[in-house]
Parts: sequence; structure tokens; C-alpha cells
Amino acid sequence: MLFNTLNFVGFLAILYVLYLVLSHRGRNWLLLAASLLFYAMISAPSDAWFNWKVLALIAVPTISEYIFALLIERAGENRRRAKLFVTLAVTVNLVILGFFKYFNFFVANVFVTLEKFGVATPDPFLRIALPVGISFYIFKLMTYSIDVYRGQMKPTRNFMHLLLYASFFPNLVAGPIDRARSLMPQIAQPRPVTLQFFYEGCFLFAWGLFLKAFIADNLSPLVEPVFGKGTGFTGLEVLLATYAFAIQIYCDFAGYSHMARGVGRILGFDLMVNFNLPYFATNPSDFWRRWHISLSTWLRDYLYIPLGGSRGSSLMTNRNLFLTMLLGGLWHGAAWTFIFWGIYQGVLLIAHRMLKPLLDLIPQPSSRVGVQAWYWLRVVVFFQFVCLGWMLFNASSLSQVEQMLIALATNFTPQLTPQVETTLFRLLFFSLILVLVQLYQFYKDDLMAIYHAPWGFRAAFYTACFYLLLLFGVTGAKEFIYKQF
Amino acid sequence: MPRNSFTSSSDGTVAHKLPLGLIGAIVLTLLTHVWILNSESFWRFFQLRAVAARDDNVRLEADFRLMPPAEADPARVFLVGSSQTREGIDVGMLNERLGGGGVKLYNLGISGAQGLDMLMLAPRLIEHRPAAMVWVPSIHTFYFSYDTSKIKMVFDPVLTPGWVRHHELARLWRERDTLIEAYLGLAFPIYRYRDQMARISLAWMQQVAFHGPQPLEPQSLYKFKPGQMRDERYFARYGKVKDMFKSDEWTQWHQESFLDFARLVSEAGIRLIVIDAPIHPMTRNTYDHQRIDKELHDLLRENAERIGYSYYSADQLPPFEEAEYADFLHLNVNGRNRLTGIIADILEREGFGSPKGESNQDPAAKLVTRQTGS
Repeated sequence: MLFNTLNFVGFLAILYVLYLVLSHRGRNWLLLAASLLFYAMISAPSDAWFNWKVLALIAVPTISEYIFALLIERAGENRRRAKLFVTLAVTVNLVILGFFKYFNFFVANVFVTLEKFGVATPDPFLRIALPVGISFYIFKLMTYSIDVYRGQMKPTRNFMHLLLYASFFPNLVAGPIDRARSLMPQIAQPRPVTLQFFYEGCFLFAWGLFLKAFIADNLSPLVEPVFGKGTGFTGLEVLLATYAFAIQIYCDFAGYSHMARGVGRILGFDLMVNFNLPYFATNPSDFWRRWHISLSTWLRDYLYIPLGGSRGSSLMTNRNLFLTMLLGGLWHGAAWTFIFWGIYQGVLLIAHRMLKPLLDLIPQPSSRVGVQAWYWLRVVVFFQFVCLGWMLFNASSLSQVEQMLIALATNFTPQLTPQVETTLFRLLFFSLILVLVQLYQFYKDDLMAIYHAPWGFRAAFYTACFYLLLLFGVTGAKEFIYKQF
Repeated sequence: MPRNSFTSSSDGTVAHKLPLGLIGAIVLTLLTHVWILNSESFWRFFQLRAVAARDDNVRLEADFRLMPPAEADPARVFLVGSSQTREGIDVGMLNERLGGGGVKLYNLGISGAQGLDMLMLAPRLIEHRPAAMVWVPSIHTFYFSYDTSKIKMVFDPVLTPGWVRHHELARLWRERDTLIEAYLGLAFPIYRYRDQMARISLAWMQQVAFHGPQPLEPQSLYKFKPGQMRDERYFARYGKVKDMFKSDEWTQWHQESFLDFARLVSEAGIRLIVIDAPIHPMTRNTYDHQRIDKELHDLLRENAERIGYSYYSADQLPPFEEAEYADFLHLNVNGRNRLTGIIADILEREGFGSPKGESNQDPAAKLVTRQTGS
């Protein structure tokens, strides 16, 4: 039951009607039941309706967090005891995440290494299926005990509130990774459910659906042939497929985040903004302030700063940056390509940090046009670095990346074959509306600029989007890319 | 730098107002919808750019919408059925031959049309008041599994009772999206033909973007170009297929749909002429032809008199040579010319067009006579 299905719309409509007539307490119970049902349904194999077993995967870490948070509070001023409890809480989460997400990868790599030394290896005795959204809800839950330990929030006595926080269906599968200290009070306090929230939520949901069904899913056929095969393509074909993937992954993931925030908004919640025009970034630091904000700030608050952040020497800061991004890459999945993507992002951040004094020496233009041109030049240049990262991210192996880079470097013929012409046209056609909307958001300095636009403009915009979706929108509930993480 | 504007940052003024943007959008959407339904240029665009086989459904819709009132044609004859009709009959040649007799023919064959599809198309066909319909069904029309994903493009609510009757509850639930999409397609023609319209529009925009606008010229009705024929490997591969056509859960429904179609057409006072489509001799190796052919011919023959349609079975028609086929089911240009001649003869005998002064013998008997030269 993905967000982009009629089933989900029906599910949400029924839920909302019931939600409206219930008290605050009733609403929370309803949301919990709906969230658990949603997770059981979305985790079900193709031949079944539900998979109730997966609920244990949410329940176990939630119970652990609940108990350890209370123990941390009881430890009071005894920081050593509190530290022990928070360490145990984090360990339980990491063991669950590590087992389900990295066990297969670890065993496969150990066996490959052993085989290189001539040691016979058995078939892996366990093949672990990756539970949907585990990286998201485990990271969400970890913020609870850590924030309690840091004294940034009080632990709850109400287990249901914590279970609802962990399983809250709008952001369960692919984020945003809302902090406990932000979402738990919204669960505990009565929430206003107003017509304005309904409008805003519907707007966000519809725009997210448009990003997914009109842009991301239509760009997918331009990406898959190249990344699926990896060889036998010209440099230009590789470049266009990589650009298409950059737009696809943004629209797929940001689309999901918008829909999640829209559903949350309809129900009276404020979920985190997860994207802030990331491709308008001019450098790696800027990019990570705009891309997957709920993860990048999580990594900053719960990994980079505890590692020492930028408080130590330059060498230590670089080490912290590197480790943070390496683990950020690994968070995405158990594959070498994700690890190298993380390393690449770490290296970019370090390189930018080290080169910044030199870059600052470049004379800045003073005229208005010059300032704009200089900004957009940096945006375009940095976008190429982002795309190089996406190549690593989406490739099936490092040798594929090598082949693609070789094609880019040695076989780049800017010739418009019919195939290239089609790819280029579709890339431009399906991306055009995104570029226009984002420029409008940028110059209006408002991510909700369309929503705040004059009604005549909105009417024309909604109508255009409706017909574009009706004609070109991809139906058939294509899965979200980040669902696999 | 845009601020991180959480939705809660909105100023609260909107809540006290009507959602004017949404209301405006609904009005604009309805206006656009009305324009689409009534715009000749919109449908002409798709009619002229529809590629044979790939875009048959949108072309048929455009044909319907652009067809002059029935009074404009003295006697209107629709050639209906699957790609075997579209590919196998030269409507230009027929109009040339029979037009003098005041007959105007339209080739409305669409790829893959089976019994169910024809029943769903019946109301629209009847609405345009033809004097006669020529349906060229084949084994594929009744004995081939039905792809429900294509139902949206021909859907008519006339099918709903049958859909409910022929499906178990669990299957009805599984196929609910198909029906929802079909009904949505009824409301929005753009949604109904979205795949074909999207493909045509994208191709046109790409053409304009890279090569400039080109004059609109009608696409050929035929997928196979003159002289084009499947190679030996194709025939060798498909010659080995067994049970390509067989009775399955859909067969009875296709057959019932055919009879319902024939009944509806007859009741509307339209002459229905059913002619067995020629199929490549090797096709018979791919199914139990003795049993199935007999079963099919019996069905068509036995109901002809009862319902009131004319039926010309394969054994009444001259056989076609292998060299007259482009593939297993479709005729090439030579075969098309010959089938067109046969149909012209039948139509003349049925009273459409100007007879050439030949004897008033049974049209099928005449056709066999011509073929054998006796």
C-alpha cells in the first residue's frame, strides 16, 4: 500500500473521517492501529495481504527504548549509569539494524575473502530479508533515548505514545526522520485539525504525487537501460542517464517526503522539511544542508558532533567529516557502491573545507547580474560533482562505474542520434516544470511559494498539473527508491 | 537562500477564505474538458498521427468524433473487428469500387479486438447509424486469453453486469483497479487513451523541438509495408507453438458477447455481415483446429438465421496462399487486395454498392467460382 496507490487514498479517506469524530486519545489509538496495519500491509509478500510478524521488529526496539529511557531518567545525576543505559539502548538498535541490514553483506564478503585464500565456504545459512523502512524507524527511535540522556526531553510514561512515534505511518517507510523531541510532544498534546491544515496537506500530497508519478517515474526508463547494463554506451548517453537519475532520485524521494508531510499535515502534525532546493547548492556543505535534511542533521547531531565535530584540530575535523559521511553512505545500504558514495561525499566535504580559503580569494562580482551569474555558475559546476556521486550511488558495481567513467572520458561524441535525441527531449520535458517551480520558490524565497501564489496562478498551475498527470503520469504504483533503504 | 518554510509558517489567512485556487482549477479543468470533447483540431491531431496497431484505439475514438452525421453518407458501412480487419481490408479500394453506388465505408478495425471488445464498442458503432457492419472475426476473437489491462480503452458500462457475473468475488476485488480506471476513462478521454496520446504528443513535441513543425499527413492504416513479410525464423518459431488458441475462462464470455453484439446490431436495424478472417495455413498447427474450427463455425452458423446476420465461413471463401500473408494472422498487400475484392463482391450481393451486372447467385458460391476459375 504505497502512497501512490488508490488503496492508500481509500485508506487515508476512511482514516480521516474516523479521525475527525474521535477525541485526542481516540485519535492516537486510531493512528497506532492504522500505522501497524499500514506496516503489516506494506511488508506483505505479493501473495498475502498482511505480514504481522514484522510488527515485532518495531515493537522490540520500542520496548527497549521505553525501558532504557526510564532508566536513564531514574539514573538522575549519575551520569555513568545514564551513559551505560543510553549505550545499551543504542546498541540494541544497532544490533537489530546491523543484523537485518548488513548480515548478508558481511557474510558474503567474509566468504569471498575466505575463498580467495582457498578456504571452502558453505552456503550462507541465513538469508535475511530487509524489513521495509528499518533504517528510518531505528534512526528515529535512537533519537529518543539519546535526547533523554542529553536532557533535551523527558521520557514518556505512556508506551503507546512511543510506539505511535516509532510506527507513525506517514514517515515510517522513508522518512523524514523526525526527532522524538519534535514529534512526541505532537502526539502527547491535542492537535488542531483544521481546514487550513487539510488544504496544506492536500497541496503537499498532490505535489509529491506529481513529482513521483509525472517526473521520477517517467525518467526511470531513461536511467534503467544505461545503469542496468552499464556498458556499450557513449559518454553522452551515460551523462544524460546520470542527469536523469539525479532528477529522478530527487523527485522520487522529495515526492515521498512531500506526501508524508502532507498526510501528517492533514492529521494535524508538522513533519520536518526534508529537502530545500538541493540542486541549487553551490558546495558540498551547502548541499548537505539542503538534501535529506532529516538524515544530514541526524548525522550531524548524533554522530559528527559526538565524534568531536569541528572542535579539534583540522585533521580531527576532517576525520570526523569522513567517518560521518562514510557511515551515512553505509546507512543507505549494504553495498560497496554506497560505501564509496559515502567516502566520495566525505572527500568532497574535506576538499571543500581545505580549498575554501583559496576559493574565497576569487574576486566576487559586485553588480547584480554578476552576482547572479557567479551564483548560477557555481550551482552548475557543483551539480556535476553531485551527479558523479549519483553515478556511484546507482551503479550496480564499482566496475560498472569504471566503465561509465571510461565512456565519459574516451567516448564522448556529442552526436544527436535518434536515441540520444529522445532521451534529451524527455529529460528536458519531464524536468522543465520542476526547474520552473524551483526557480519560483527560490526567487520568492519560499518553499510553499506555489501555495501562497495568487489564486488565478494557482488555478492555472493545478489545472496544468492535473492534465499532465492524467496524460503522462505513470500508474501502476512504482515503488519509491528510498523504500529499499 | 529560501527559508525552510514549514507549512506551519503560513500566515493563517487562507483558512478563512474559500480555496479559490482549487475552485478555479476545477472550473478550468471542466472548461478544458469541454473543449477537448468538442474540438475538431484536437481529435484530428491524434487521428492523423496515430500509428497503425500501436495507436488504433485513439484513432478509432477520433474517427467516431470526426465522423460526419449519418445523413451525410447515403449508406454507411463499418468494417469492424481486429487488426485482421484493419490490416486485411483496403477501405480506399472499397470506396472506389462501391462509392458509385452511394456507399461510404469506414475501416474501424483495432488491434486485438476480441468478442468482449466488440460488445463494448457496439453502442458507439450503432450510435453512428451505419447501414451495415462487416465483422471479420477469427480464431483469435474467441479462443485467446483476454488482457484486462486494455479494457479501459474500449470500456462501456454495458459490460459491467457481465463483468460481475463472470468473476468471482475475490477476482472482482483483485481487478477493482481495472474497473475504476475504466470508469475514470469514461469520464476523461485523455485518461482513457493516455498511453497512446502521450506517445503521440511526445513524438510530436520532440519532432517540433529538434526538427521544426511538419505538415500533418495521415499515417498508414497498415502496420506491414508493401512487400514486408515475417522471415522464415518467425514462421518456424510460431509453427512449433502448441495450444496458442484454446478454450479458457474467457471463451464462453467472448462467444456470448458476440451473440449480444449481433443482437444489438440487428435490433438497431443494421445489417451485420460476418466473414471468417483468413488465417495462415500454418496457424492451424498451433491449435486443435478440427475441434475448435468446427465449434466456432457451428456457433456462427447456427445463430446467423436466428439473430439475423449473414455469415460467410472460411470454407465458402477461396483459400489464400501462404505468399499472401505478412504473418500468421495478417494479410500482406496482395492478400489485402484479394480479400477486399471478396468483400466488395459480398457487399454488392448484400445490396450495398452498384452490382456489376453479374448473376444474382449466392455471393459465396460466386467467390469460390472466381477463385477456382470454373
